[in-house]
Amino acid sequence: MKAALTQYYPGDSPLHRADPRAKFVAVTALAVALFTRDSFAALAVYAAAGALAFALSRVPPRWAWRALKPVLWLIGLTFFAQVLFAPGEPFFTVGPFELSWEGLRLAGFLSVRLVVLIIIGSVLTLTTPPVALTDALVWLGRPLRRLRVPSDELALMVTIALRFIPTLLVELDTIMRAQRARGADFSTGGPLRRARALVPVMVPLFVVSFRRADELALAMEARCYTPGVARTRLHPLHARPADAVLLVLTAAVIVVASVV
Amino acid sequence: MNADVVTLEKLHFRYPGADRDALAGLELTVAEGETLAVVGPNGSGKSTLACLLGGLARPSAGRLATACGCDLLTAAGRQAARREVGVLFQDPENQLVAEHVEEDVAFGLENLGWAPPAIRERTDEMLASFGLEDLRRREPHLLSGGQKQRTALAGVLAIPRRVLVLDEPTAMLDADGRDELLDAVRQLRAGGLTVVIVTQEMDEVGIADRVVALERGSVQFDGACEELFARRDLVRRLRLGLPLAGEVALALAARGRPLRRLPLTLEDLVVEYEAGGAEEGDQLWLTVGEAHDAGEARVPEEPPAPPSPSPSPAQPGMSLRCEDLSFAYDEGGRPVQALQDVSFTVEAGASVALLGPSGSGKSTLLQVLRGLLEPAQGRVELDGVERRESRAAPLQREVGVVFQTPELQLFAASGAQDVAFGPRRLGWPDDVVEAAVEAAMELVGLPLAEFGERHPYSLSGGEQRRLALAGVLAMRPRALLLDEPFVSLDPASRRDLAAVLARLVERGTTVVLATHDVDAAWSLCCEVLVLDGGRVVAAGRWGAATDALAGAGPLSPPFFVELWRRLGRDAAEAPRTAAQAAEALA
Repeated sequence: MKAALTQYYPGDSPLHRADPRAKFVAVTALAVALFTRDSFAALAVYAAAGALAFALSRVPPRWAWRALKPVLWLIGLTFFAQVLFAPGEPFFTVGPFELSWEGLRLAGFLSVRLVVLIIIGSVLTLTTPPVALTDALVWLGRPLRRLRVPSDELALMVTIALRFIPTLLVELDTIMRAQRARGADFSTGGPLRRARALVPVMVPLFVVSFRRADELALAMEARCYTPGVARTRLHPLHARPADAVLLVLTAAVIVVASVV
Repeated sequence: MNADVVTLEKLHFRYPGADRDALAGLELTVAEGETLAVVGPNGSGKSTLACLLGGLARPSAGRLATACGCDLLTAAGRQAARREVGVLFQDPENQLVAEHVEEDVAFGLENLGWAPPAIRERTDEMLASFGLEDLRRREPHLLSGGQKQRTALAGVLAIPRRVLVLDEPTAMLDADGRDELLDAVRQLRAGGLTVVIVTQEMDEVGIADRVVALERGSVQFDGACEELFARRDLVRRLRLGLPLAGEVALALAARGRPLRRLPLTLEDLVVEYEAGGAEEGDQLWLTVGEAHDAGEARVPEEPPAPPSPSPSPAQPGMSLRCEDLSFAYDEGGRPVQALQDVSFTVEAGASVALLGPSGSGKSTLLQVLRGLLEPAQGRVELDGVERRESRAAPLQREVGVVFQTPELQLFAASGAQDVAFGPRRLGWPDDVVEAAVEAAMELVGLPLAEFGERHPYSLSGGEQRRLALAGVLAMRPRALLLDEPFVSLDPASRRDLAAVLARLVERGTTVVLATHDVDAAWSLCCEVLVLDGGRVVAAGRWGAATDALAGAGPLSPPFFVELWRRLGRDAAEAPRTAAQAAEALA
């Protein structure tokens, strides 16, 4: 369940070891560049780059499918909307719908572009633990501290939320099973009835979450946590020469794609 | 005598909105290098004291309050005290913040702004000394309770401390986790650390040099452990838990056969008993008058006969049968076998202890029996009816299940409403629901008149658990499945719950009790079913089934069986309770 939520696939590939800031910058740059060129040749370059990156990450290919599955409906919708509504010379007409080669071409282009985008994005989330990703965002968002955005506190909040999701999921599961054994029924009836059926689950879950939060706050203070005071990290972010290579390669891909 | 590291004089603390002080003029000193145990019932102020010592709460008033030279009466002093005094809390789950073990251990040092290489070095040192090296990259939710608590302890001590305060550190742990943690504490103590351990378990008191008993926020007793144990009145009033060896000694004393001193372990008891007990003129740890009090006091602790829960005539128990059950969990695409070819029979009205190490399949088996999980293969029969048959559906409803920490399921605004949830879902008419609620609450010792209107969350932990049990009993189950019902209860609450379960067994309800606690199982259940790695490794009556496993298997023998063996008696005739043991030994 955790895997589905956070998408991290533990490993030791060059991409796993890369600095999360470099990965984040590279992926953002590729995503933006991907959407600024409308040629099939450029798309092929980005698709090749995405496939290469995915191979480099040594994540099993079925994880690419897992990343794509939840957004298939979006890709499908994009495809049909383009096929049916894009302007062009129709070669086939069904009722109010007209199919054109231009429409098909555009629909294929946009759908493939979405797939490439998701593959490139998933390389980032599959090779970077969520906390490292948060650290990268906090570092990149440092200028915002001037604007009094509490970036360190936000990072810690994300860490704690991720830490407690599995705990609360187990708790939710236990409570639901206990109430089901007492005759609760969560799967029949209209929306109102179903919402009411959840009361015996949500009340205990909130109570236990508040108690956990309360005790956690105390335990954090007991370990000298003081909000607003600068912290150091066991694993500080370290840029290495390999990260420069990653950024240069990314730039190269974008340049190639812009000239083909 | 070493210098005092903690001095409290006339210390008061009151929670906002409370009508009395949680700490009322507390006086306490702790010497450097000393191990102090703090005992007392719920609400006596033990946990408040732990927070105050750690600089985590602001005293309402006080003449003097210092810890490691920091003035706890000032904000700056409390902030400084947090660096010197470490506090470990009860629930390990609520103390871990980071995504992996090693980052959690480092959390305190990160907060103090140590340089990364120094954090690395100190974290590695802590991981090594608490045996966590192999778990450093493990996520907290994948750890066992004992591993979580050791991680939390390593995190507390990563910041170099002069004093360690432990607030009921083993209350949420199983027996193995408890032993691991106490070993760690013993080592720290031997290393010269000052330790304050808040506890309700008397055998944990035994590791301290000195014990302080609190009641209603002030000190009722301050002295050596043996002196406290001799004060039976106080031990009872403070709701402390005595190990079985101590219970036997008290019961012996009540029969006019006092031992020279109060034993806390089986070894001690054997030695003291074989030494022939106390002689004329021995300095007794228990006066004879107290002994008689103690003996008499044992009687009401046995379940008092419930004043006729009449509306529900005792229903006959249900028989349960499993044949070649197999079940596998799906973990990230890989099947993990939890049960394999499990076959057994539970006669109607029998009480069966389901024993086995963590992960042996106990919880899974209970859920399959209740029909909450569908077995991949095999059959389950309720009263001889295969569960998939349609006429088994009403029988399925008569199998009650109490999950671990069942108080989690409490949600209604009053006790009676919560207990009524199940019966109402069964569609019973109002008067039947009311009768069922009243009978169930009576049965668990929370009479409707007194507890019906109270909010579930205002009850103590033990009362909440019994209320949750009432919610299951109100549905009038003929078979009851319990998953670790004693975990994280204080000793007195454990006794109360055991008494309720004994009453159910007596009434003829079929009971299947999954537990780590072999002694609780021994006193309640007539048969055992031992699982290991999802397979049945022993089943049937105690003795025949368990002898083969003793020592080598996943099971240590019950206290009384081992006692009888050590005393050279016939283990087949070992007693079930301390009173029975004393009767045979006196």
